[in-house]
Amino acid sequence: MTAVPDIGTQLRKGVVEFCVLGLLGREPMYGWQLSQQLTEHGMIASIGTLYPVLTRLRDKGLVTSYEQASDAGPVRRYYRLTPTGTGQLETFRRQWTPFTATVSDLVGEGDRQ
Amino acid sequence: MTETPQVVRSYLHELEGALRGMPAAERQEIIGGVREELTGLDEAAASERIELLGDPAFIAAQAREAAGDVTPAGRESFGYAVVASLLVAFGGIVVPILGWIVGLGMVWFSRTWSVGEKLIGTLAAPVLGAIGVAVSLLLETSATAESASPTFGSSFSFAHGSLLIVPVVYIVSGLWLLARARRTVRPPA
Repeated sequence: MTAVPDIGTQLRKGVVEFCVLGLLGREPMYGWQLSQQLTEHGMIASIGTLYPVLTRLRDKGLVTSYEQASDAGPVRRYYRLTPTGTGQLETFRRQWTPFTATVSDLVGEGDRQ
Repeated sequence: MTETPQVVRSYLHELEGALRGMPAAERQEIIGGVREELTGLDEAAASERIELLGDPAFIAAQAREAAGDVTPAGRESFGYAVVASLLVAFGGIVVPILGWIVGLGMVWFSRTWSVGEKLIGTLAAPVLGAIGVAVSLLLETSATAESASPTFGSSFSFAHGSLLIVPVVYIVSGLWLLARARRTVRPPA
């Protein structure tokens, strides 16, 4: 008997890569910054989820990283979008709203008939 | 540079252990990212940050899930890594040449090492061997140019002798790969 996967987890898995692209679309960020933002919004449970996602995005050529020394702190690895990543984010943005509208239409709203 | 607090060293050590068996690139990225966050903090600030980061076992479990890795704690991978490293170190001596080829093949198929580590493990011995032979041949050429009676015999065997560098370096490379597999990333000094 297989356990029924948590719906929230499944949904987050589907979109977390695009959430990372969205955050990096605003500005380059380092790992902890990304992790904090995503954790606060309940998209990931820990920094452990973030790095495999970043590795995948980099392997796909959507994200690139570089090191930058901060004024007072350590040298940090920043991540930023590549032109392909920007394009992918744009495509996702265009499709997301009609997609959610379609799903809402199909799923309906339980309390209304 | 301030001394790294003990709490940071223990945390990173624990995280490295928990991540063992994951692909090297991802493991290094996670440890690098966490280390970056703990660098330069004093004991109290680091403890606070560690609290936010969470239990290493939980981070590792999340990372495995996100990476789609279902190897339980990577124990099998470590056994595989030990065999591969030892074959690189001694395989070519036990079964000439073929032992090294099998060992290096296993290393390249493994996810334990990064591409850079695999390249070093593979190329260090032949490159150093080739340099040894080139240097001895160069010495031979200059010796024959200077001397009226060429000393072919002795310098030729010198060139052959320098090939001994290859098995010696493979022993070092194999043991180094084993050490990297045991503990891929050192805690900061």
